[in-house]
Amino acid sequence: MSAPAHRVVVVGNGMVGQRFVDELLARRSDDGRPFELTVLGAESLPAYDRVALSSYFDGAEVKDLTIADPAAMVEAGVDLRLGTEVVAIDRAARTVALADGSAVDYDHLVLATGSDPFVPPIPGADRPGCFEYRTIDDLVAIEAWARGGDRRTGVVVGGGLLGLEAANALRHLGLATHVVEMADRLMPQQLDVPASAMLHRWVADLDVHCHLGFATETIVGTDDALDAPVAGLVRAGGELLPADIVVFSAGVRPRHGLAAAAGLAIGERGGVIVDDRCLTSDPDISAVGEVACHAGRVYGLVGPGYAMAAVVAARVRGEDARFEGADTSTKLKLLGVDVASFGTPSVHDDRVEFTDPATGVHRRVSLSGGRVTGGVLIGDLSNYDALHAMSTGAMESAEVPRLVVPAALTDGVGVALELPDGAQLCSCNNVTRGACRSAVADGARTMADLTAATAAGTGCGGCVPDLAKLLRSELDALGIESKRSLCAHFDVTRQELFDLIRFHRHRSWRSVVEAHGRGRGCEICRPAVASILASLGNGHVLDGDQAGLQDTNDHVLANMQRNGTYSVVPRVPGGEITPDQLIALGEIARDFDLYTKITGAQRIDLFGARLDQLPAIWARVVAAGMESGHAYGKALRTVKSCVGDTWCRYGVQDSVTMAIEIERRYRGLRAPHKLKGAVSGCTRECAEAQSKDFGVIATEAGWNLYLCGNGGRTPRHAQLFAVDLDDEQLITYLDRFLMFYVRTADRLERTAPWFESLEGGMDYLRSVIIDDALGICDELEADMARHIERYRCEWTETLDDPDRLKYFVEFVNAPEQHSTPVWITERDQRIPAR
Amino acid sequence: MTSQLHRDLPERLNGPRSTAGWQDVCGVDEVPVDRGVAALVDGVAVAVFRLSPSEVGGAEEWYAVSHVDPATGAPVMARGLVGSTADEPPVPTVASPLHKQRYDLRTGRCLDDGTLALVVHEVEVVIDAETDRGARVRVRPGA
Repeated sequence: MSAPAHRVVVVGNGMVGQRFVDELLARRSDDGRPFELTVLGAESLPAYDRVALSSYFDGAEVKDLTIADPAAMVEAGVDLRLGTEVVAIDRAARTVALADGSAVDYDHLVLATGSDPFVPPIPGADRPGCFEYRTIDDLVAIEAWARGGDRRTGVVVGGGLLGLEAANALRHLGLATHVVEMADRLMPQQLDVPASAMLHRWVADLDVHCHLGFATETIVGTDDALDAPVAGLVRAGGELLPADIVVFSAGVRPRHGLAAAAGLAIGERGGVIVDDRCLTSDPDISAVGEVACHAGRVYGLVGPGYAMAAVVAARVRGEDARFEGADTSTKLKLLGVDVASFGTPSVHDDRVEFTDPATGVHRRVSLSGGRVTGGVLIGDLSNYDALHAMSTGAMESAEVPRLVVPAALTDGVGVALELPDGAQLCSCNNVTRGACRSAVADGARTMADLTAATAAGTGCGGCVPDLAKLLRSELDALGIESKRSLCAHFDVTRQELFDLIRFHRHRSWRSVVEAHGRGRGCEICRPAVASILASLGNGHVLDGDQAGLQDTNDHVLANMQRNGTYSVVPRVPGGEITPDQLIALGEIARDFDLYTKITGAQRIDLFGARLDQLPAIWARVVAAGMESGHAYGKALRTVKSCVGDTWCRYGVQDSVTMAIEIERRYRGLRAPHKLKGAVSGCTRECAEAQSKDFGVIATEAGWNLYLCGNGGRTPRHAQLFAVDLDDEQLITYLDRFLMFYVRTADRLERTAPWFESLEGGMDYLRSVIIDDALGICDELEADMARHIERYRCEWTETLDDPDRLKYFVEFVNAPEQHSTPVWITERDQRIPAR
Repeated sequence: MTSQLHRDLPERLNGPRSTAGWQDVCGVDEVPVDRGVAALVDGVAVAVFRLSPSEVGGAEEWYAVSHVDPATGAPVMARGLVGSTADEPPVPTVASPLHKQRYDLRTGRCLDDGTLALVVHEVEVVIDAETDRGARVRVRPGA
């Protein structure tokens, strides 16, 4: 007889509440205790990444920040109720009461209500123009206010971690940004005065003005009315700091109101008291994340919250698990500055310090009895892993003075300290180096393998470079060749950079290079980043700072020829073109005196257009119902077809329709190299599908799929991947294959060499794409769906936008003039002089 | 092969040293950051580049070189990608959009082929107070 289902109710759908749900569903097993799961979220949005909130103003959209998949949760049987507020807990009846008057029964209740921002009790703090910084709703309101009038100056109240994040958000909105902090230094909880002073210099360089020891007495309005919009902050003592917008980010307070009202024990400084099993004073109720107070301590970081979520999920499944406190070390980029703090040093400890004002580096490590107790690093995080491991006791303290000096200055006279397996690598998911090394020993060969096996790097993503380094050194030790860094400006490979950009949801070159690179980049990394941003669906390739990254051809959406003129290639999906479109192309070519040639990809190429003629030519191409063919990009080019069973007496399937469907689906997809496909209607193979990156050949029963071939300098035959697929299977596998290639190939690496570098060959590729061995097929399909949804013809959009059209002038100071190539005539067409 | 491809520009570049002074070219905002534009200065095609600061807190850098690609004779250099080398300090570069040779923007020297070089022109940003046109870019043609 099976036990009745255990009714589990979660209050709160933030990052930690969602992690609990994910943990519970991911490890659900048939022999475990059955449960019913109800999730009650007060916000109307499903769980999103609060840590990355400021990226919202750097181009990210709500769906980029979302970490929950409501449809999948509902499909898994979860009763998900968003926009649902819990007003009371009745512990005797084991029910929670909702705002609408109804009630939900529970056998076990999990409180994941998080925290509220702390707004200091300052008169005027509720004026229009004063905001909190905690939710997406807050951000929407901040943006609306900032853009809703002549608002120039923003002030953040609070100089801690969150306050500086909020300052970054205001910067992104283009406001002159100030930070006021009551303490005598920035990040008072983590930094001492010298470290804070160094951070202050960096922040000031970014034109963020910090006012320390600033106690706000009152917030004044534009006039005396209580509801007049904010005009500034008055400092105790009388000085006025003008402000058009004020954002409070002065810390958070556990949201324990429900628990307190229900009589649960509350910590002295807030938070619901929990034991090592994360149980509250009522054994039917657990608390996790920022609302929980464990051993007198409330954790404001996501890592400990995730650990608690895992403990409670294990318990619900009937296993025993304990939370024994968590490491609160942090290592992050704050406004582009590297900052780390680790351990719990005491003011009585000995100190080893290094400070170089010229480079803005300050590093301090505290010791007690010769053992590292903690430290802080600003501007240079070298040796962090070793110092951190020493502070946790995972590694013996040694060579500390040498480790405190930045690695770049020790010139490799260095410190060859091997980090122990016990040293932590990913703090979000508490993954040790040992666990990662075991994963490599067990067969992980790529970053995707490694993150799938260990979950390391899937939280904030901050450890991905270290993870990459570990993967490379382990592979080296095993004698397996691994890919190398992209260029002098990035230490990671293209694949690692792709993962970083994806994890961090970067939307601009600036944020990518600030976070993961250095300098202004070069002709290698800039187009590589442009390609990755485009593959991940970040809008038009000429928008924002992406325009500056594009290779010459992408920048003007045409192919430069040897005399500096351009060619024009409209898309002709599947090679099918109407007589009217043919006539239109003929007339355009005649009117602009363009050389005309049929390409190898069943398209028509028009040569000899001047830069300034491109918009006029494309306006006519678009008017004729055609769109960009992306011949200028490392992108999907064409899907060639034979006429198939529409006309051919041998054809067994409609190859033209399938080719057109595939070409339309993947048009505009940016990839490490150009991509070509083909569909043949029978095994006679007239479309030459086996020489393409992906080739489809019709059979009586469906479609055979061939992958990773190419023509060109080094021709390769595509290899058979799967047989007799139906239409839906074919498209699903193509979605996954193309995105897997886009994500993992090196820059300028075509599918054939990429395939050759995959250990395990076609069997491995099948296991990833058909059997989902890496557990990434959902992500691959979601990334492709995002690309398809966001696809727009780049030329159509360019013609509508004066900002983009301004690039199509040869001489900036003489728009009506142009250089004069020498032309000759050959076989009745115009070509460049030889 | 240099001069057959284009009728006018290469000859002018190889012509006598210009004695003209500074020439107003365009507004600062007309040059996208980390990109180039071409301009006609005394009939000579000049590529003007605006580079983001090479380090946090640094100033933007401006360079002007000949617009004609020395390897092919095509007027395309302003459409090349800018960047910097791995040297310390880094060398600001532009790569030809045709065959990707990199040139030192400060000296015009080609980093990949010692037989090639770009002509370097002087460039500066000035505030045009008289006409209220804001920050302007101006160029003085070099040899």
